[in-house]
Amino acid sequence: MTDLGPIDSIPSLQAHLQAALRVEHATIPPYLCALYSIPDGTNLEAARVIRSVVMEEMLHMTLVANLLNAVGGTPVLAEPEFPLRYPGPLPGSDAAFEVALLPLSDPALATFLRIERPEQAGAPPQPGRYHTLAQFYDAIRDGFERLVRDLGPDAVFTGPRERQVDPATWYYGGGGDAIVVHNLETARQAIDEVKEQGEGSARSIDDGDGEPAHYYRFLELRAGRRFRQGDTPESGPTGAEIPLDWTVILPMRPNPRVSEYSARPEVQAKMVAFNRAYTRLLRELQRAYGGEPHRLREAVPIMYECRYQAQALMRMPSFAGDGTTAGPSFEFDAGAGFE
Amino acid sequence: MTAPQGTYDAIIVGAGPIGAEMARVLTARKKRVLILEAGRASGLSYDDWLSYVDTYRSALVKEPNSPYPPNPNAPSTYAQDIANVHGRVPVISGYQVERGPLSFASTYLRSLGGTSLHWLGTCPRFVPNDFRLLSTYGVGRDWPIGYDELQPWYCEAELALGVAANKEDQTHFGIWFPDGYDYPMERIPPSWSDGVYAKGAEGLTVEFGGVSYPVAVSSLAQARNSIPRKGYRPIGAVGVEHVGERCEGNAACIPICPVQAKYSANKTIARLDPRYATLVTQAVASRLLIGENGRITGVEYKRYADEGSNQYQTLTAQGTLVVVAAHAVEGAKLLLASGAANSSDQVGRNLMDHPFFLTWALNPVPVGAFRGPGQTSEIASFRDGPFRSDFAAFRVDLGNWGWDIATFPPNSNVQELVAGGVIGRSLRRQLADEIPRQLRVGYVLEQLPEARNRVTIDREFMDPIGCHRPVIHYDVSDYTRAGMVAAMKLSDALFRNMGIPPKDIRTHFTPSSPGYMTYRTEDGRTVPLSFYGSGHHMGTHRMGVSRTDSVVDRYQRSWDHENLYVVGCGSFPTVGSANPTLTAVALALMAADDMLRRLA
Amino acid sequence: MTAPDTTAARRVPRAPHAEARRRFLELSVTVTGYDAATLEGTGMVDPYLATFLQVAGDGPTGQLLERWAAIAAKTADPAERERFVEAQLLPDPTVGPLTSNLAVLWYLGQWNQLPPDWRQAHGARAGDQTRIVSPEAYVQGLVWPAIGTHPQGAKQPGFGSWALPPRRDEP
Repeated sequence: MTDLGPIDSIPSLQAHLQAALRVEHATIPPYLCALYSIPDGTNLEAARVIRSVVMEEMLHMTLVANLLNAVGGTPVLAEPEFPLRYPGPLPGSDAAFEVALLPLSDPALATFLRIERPEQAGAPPQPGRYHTLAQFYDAIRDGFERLVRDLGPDAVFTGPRERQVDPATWYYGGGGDAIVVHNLETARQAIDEVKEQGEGSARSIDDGDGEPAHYYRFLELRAGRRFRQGDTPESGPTGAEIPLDWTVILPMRPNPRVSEYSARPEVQAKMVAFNRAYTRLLRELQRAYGGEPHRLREAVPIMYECRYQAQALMRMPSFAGDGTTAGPSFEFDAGAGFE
Repeated sequence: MTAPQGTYDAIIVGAGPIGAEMARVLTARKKRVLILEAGRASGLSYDDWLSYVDTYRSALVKEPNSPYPPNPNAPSTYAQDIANVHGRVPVISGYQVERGPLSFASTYLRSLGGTSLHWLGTCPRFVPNDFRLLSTYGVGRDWPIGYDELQPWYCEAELALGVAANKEDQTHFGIWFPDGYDYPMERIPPSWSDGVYAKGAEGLTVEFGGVSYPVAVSSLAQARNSIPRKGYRPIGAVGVEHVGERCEGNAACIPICPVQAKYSANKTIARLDPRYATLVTQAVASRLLIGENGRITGVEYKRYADEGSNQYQTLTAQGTLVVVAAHAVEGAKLLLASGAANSSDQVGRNLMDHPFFLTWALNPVPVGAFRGPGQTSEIASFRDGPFRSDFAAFRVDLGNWGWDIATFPPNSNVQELVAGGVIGRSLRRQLADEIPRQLRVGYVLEQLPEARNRVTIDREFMDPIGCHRPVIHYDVSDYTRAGMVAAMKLSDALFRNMGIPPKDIRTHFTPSSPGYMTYRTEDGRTVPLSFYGSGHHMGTHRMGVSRTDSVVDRYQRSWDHENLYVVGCGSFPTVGSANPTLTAVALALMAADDMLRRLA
Repeated sequence: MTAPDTTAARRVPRAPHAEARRRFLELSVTVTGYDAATLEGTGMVDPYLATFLQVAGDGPTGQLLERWAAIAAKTADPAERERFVEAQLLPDPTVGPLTSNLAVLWYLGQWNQLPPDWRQAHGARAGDQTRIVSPEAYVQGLVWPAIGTHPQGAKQPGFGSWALPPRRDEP
């Protein structure tokens, strides 16, 4: 893992924001694998919790893209190195843990808790080799403030307004509203939104929108209970039970790869089809973040397509013949056609 | 549930879209409102809604009421109960008793949210001449109000229902909008097949009575969530507001939108301010109590605790004003059972629907059938014109769901192919070859008010808790049948212009077709016809300028009882060719405004 | 800690059942024209086999699978297998109606009541009613992908998807 270095120039700020885009994206496939391993119509509450987190992560990608566009950068998604190779550490992190593609399970929830771990009081901002994502975003926030102070806002916020995704264009599934970034204040708002929806803090469960932050929502799932009024990080959730039927969870073999399925050509073809849809999605998102925000609309049907293909893969026997199933591998497929 | 206490500013009978929107307006102005709903408390949580979605998925016949289990104590008609009369009357197999000569082919739903749970959501405004049919074309009647007077209420209704449309697509035959107004959401994107129709209709004209009418495809106004305009926030599903903020293309609007992206009245009911609104479900209004001075002194209702038992309590609710918003058929029944509001002898009479005529064909190339909302575009070209002196106006719906109710694809195709020994890859290929090319055009036809078409009650026909079942007399006059013949002429011209060979025009009617009937043309030909119901029950308590021949006035106030309002599609004197809910809600908002003035 | 580790391998079905399942899946491939992975992906192989065993019974279902095994032993060519099923299974008074029902079940999620003669000969079971066997069976109907769309009221494709050009099912 190359160190991202300090944020001391516009290019280094752009590099950090591009890394942040990768990080936000890297969390989505693990969440989706957990979500899609829950058969439709079962475990409704758990599915809703994970879905709400996925929607917020997608909003975070959009917010980071707005930040990057605001400082004259160009978000890059459609390239082979953009998706994380699972299992692997979060891009730019101190590699203290790896994220993997798993069905909903205790190891999966443990990973999610690591991803969304709250910042400990007094933890310093970390532009690279960060321990928590909060430290990384603190460093980016500091970077913005420093550069605006040193160079003046006009030299920092040079990106064209029409590249910004605004709330009317971004709506999907209630992750919250997109924030148009054009000055230090809106940049801070966007960064705070990403931070608070994700990790909350070690002191409060709330994410600022009146909902528990992701970290605490995963704690709820792991404990099988909701937080209620008066609960604290120390008390843990003491509210209503979240009924979870673990027997129906689809047993996806962890970290699927297309290359493992050469002896199962039918399943392999479906994995490739998934990756092609996924790659088309990355291309649509890149175009949407690259000056054609209305393309987010075109991306939505592809997201759904990916979902149904992934759900089918999780019911196909894996190559191992041990009762586990195949799954979506989220690999970039250079052969995917443009549509 | 607790029994309601004390006196209310208003009692509203019926928690459908009309009752719900009036309750919203009244409670927002801090009026105490009691809502009595005959059916169950459906759709007040999302899990409850998903159980209806599952019922729909496992229903063999996916008809409009299929997601909503039968409730014996507040029965509804199910489409499979509707049979051709064929001279054998009465038909009593379903909830409604058919006296003929034709079956009234429409259904409605008695449940919280009413028929808006299964409606499609089509929301065109009436054209100005729809309000003055008699003075313009010498048929039907005039309304006591005109387009210009209703116009502001249309704007309010479009906001209340959340209508998606572009106003420039909607200015048919004198429909106008105030400066600066536009619909709350952008139009629903037209389907791919709409584009096929639009190209096929290019340059097409059809001649009637020496007048040439150009044919144009335009976008349909719909109460369905789309991209919001300035400041409007789409209303999602009850209990999970971020679900359904856009139409997700479930292609099942009728009978149920799984994400509640279309307007349904349960969404309004769920948002009523509980400080002012009291909702009682499983409460069937059975009688209006009439005082000596003609005032309605109370609403008697039958409260049943359990759908599985016919045990009920009879209770009475009191309010300053009483609103019957119980649906054109159920409302008429209640008035008739109470001996109320009927000095004109018009209650229950002039029952109208929009008889729905279908033609269907196979396009040379796929149009992408079975994608998107039921309809996204229309042909509005025949909603008005001099021909209305001779035959019915019609609005043309361009269906997105293949042949739909004409032949029930894709089930019928699978069954027929497999029965014919086709399996495997040939089965797969033959389905792929045909169904995506299916085109179905629907014609929503005007029907004139006639005293003989009516809802009555008869002590011989009662439901399990001792309320009347509706007894219906219904026929379709030559005015409307001639409109179907004209629709057929348009259909032939349109399909031909689209490049469809005659062998692929598949429209045909036999005596077993739903609503089979014939029409004898001027040159002596007998033309077979068939029609479906549109689910638009209208006319049973019409509004007018005189108490001698109408039931309510322009504010839908009963001429006979000064504190009684009878609202909804039953108040329409004539019906044009526009789906009625938007207009009924506009009228209801106007009525609610009148109520607020009187309660002030 | 209540969350178990669902990533652990599942128990593999017992051998006799596994053999019946394998044959049932193979026959389903020929009867539907979809490959085994697609059928597995619906999650309906086991529920549909269970439907057959419950509604048509062990005997007739066993007969169907044995007749199929004989065909499968003769050829692996998909087109030939299809012709054999058409010529040998469909006309048979016992396994013919079951073969048709298998196709309808996969395409529509619907069980058709067996013909009166069949019910007379093999006994009529309670589940032998024309019905959608479960909400999920409707959702997983193969007719929808075959006609290039999604089931009405399920697998929603997203806002505006209906404006895109139609897609053809590619066998």
